[in-house]
Amino acid sequence: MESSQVIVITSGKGGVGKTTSTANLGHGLAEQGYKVCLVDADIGLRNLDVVMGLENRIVYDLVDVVEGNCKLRNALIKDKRNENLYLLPAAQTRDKDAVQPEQMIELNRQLREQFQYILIDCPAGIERGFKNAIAGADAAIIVTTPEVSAVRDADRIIGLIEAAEIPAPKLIINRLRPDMVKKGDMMDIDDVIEILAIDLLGVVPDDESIIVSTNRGEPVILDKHSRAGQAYRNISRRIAGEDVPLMDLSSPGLLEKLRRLVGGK
Amino acid sequence: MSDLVTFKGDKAGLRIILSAEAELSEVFSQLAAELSNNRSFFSEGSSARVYTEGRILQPAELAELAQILVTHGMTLTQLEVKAPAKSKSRPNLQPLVSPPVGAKVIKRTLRSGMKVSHDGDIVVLGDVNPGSEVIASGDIIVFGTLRGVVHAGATGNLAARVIALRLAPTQLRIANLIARAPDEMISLPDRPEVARVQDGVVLIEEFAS
Repeated sequence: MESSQVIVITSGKGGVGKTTSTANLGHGLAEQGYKVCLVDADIGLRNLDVVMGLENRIVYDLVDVVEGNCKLRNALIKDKRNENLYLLPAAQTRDKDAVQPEQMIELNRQLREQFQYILIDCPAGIERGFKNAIAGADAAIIVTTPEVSAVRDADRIIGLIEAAEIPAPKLIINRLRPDMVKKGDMMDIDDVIEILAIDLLGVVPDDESIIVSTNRGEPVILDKHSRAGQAYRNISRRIAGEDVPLMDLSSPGLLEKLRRLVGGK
Repeated sequence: MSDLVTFKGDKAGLRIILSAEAELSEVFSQLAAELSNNRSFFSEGSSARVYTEGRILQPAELAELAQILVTHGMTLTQLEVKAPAKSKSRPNLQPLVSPPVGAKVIKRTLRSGMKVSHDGDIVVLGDVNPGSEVIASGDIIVFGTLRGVVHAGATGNLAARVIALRLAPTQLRIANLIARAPDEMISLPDRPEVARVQDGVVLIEEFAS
């Protein structure tokens, strides 16, 4: 497909929200009408299928495709809510060594023929799984939380992304708590940006509804009342090139009430 | 009482030969009795190969056999249907319905990422967790909760069955048919169930032996 883009979503540290971000941004882009494929590169510790509620549909996986056990189209799972969105699941009973970076490049080449956006959910760490996930990516999104340890790992990852000559990685700051920032108990956006010095793609507020939606296998972006969902919607529009201002996180109550009053999105 | 159970030992371990001359329940009770009486003779954790004299065990019977052995600290490693030596000269009056199969017994819970496959039946004495996979050319019997992916009759046997104390698989395949769990949360069944193929669809019903 002309003008297709492979974007790797990575963080270094585990548990900061790579998989949640991948699932939500995939939905966000597909809602805008783009053909989107999500690739779970976390072989042996797959989660993206669970978060998207598609686990029970898996028959073939990424490793089956690269080993030639099946055709790519046999392994692709169509999302149950959005027909523009597909998932290529990881194998669970294998490990990272089952795939070579060259095979990922070839896989991306095939996916580019069918999809406009290919989002790769990268495993935590900087070893083989990371190298597989960034192989052949055109762009990178770094996810971090406003914690010193997560930011430290994000910094390391940005260095590796630059060394791999992937241009201009973008940053998502996840799970920000404005009340804690206000009290000086949490790093604020500027603190994080000052250290990492890359473009900010968006900020996702901490939101309990994420936990609920993740457990149910329904990405939070589908919940029109969730602030995290709104943040992901904004970020996915920015990925598509739209200029969307940052959400005002400081007055959640009022904004939320207004949105509900208007009855809109 | 004639000997319904014969024990033989060789380099590879213990062989148990089950007679075909009596009701299976009788044979099983004698097996259990023999094992209890000679408890010191059969060392804990040893493996047993079981031979039947032309009798083909049903999944439930196989599970019962495995349970008897496990109770006495033994693992069933092989099951063979073998005609007794003396009957060799006789014409084979009872052709085998299915080819001889050995059962694989797994005495542990299968966790996410584990995969077991076997040409024959598989008996799991434990749970099968989500993210794990069990693939058998024959039946799959789980003495525990089945939440993972199972494929019975993987080489195309539509008569294969899946039995579990609690049957709640992510995905259940028999031969070339695939059934998946409903997307809505459902409560766990509270009694053993069996999945089998009927009229080209996978049917799940309460297990009645």
